[in-house]
Amino acid sequence: MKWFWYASPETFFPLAGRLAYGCGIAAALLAVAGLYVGFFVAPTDATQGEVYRIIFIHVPAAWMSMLLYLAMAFWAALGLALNTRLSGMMARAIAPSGALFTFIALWTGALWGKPTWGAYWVWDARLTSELILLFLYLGFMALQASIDDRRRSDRAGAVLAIVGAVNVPIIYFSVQWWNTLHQGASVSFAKAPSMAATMFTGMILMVLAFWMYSFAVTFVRVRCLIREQG
Amino acid sequence: MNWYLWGAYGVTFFVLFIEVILLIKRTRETKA
Repeated sequence: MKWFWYASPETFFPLAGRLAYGCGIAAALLAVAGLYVGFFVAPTDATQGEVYRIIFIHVPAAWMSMLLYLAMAFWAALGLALNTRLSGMMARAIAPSGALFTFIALWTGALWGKPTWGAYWVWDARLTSELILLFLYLGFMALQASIDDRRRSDRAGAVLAIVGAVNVPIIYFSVQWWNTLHQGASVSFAKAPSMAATMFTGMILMVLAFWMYSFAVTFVRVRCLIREQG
Repeated sequence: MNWYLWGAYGVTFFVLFIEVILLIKRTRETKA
């Protein structure tokens, strides 16, 4: 594959269209499969009852919020270092979806927290650092929107995105570094998942669905940006 | 009826649906 060939917005445009179409279909199919497993195959939790099923959107949304921020910071840094037009466009295209997934993670977390902890919100390290992530996304978008010159706005946004990336490991390790109300990681590379196999399968299917959805909307948005910026 | 569960799923898919609708609208506007 000719990677540098696709570094130009003009040549990337048709490829993004094809990728968006394929990823969109994959996202729909994976979401249907994930919701089926989550609602009809996975058993009711012994202690939390039905409300635990929020896990099938809460965990994937929280993972996506962090991964999309790292992807946004990566493209922004690449644009800053190499001064490539497409990199800045990719960072711009990722930001709204990242903010949306951060909001979903906070919203679903609040609705899970009330019946299990007795509160919608606590100033816990995990929750607070995730809220800061939402402000970073909103700040990135507001900063870029406030500067008319595209190159200057890309550079300013890149600095904010790179500095803000330090918040991602803080979110991830917050449950280990501080004594938080939020539970520790249910899934990690170091140990087997601490949940039933069907619950884990439903969650992974929804993670993949959210991944594919993010790819699809990012590619559609970057096509809009290429058309708008010429 | 578990309102916490449906509140979480309802709002999630509603905001994702809105994002898709806005993107379709933006695509049509940029095409024109």
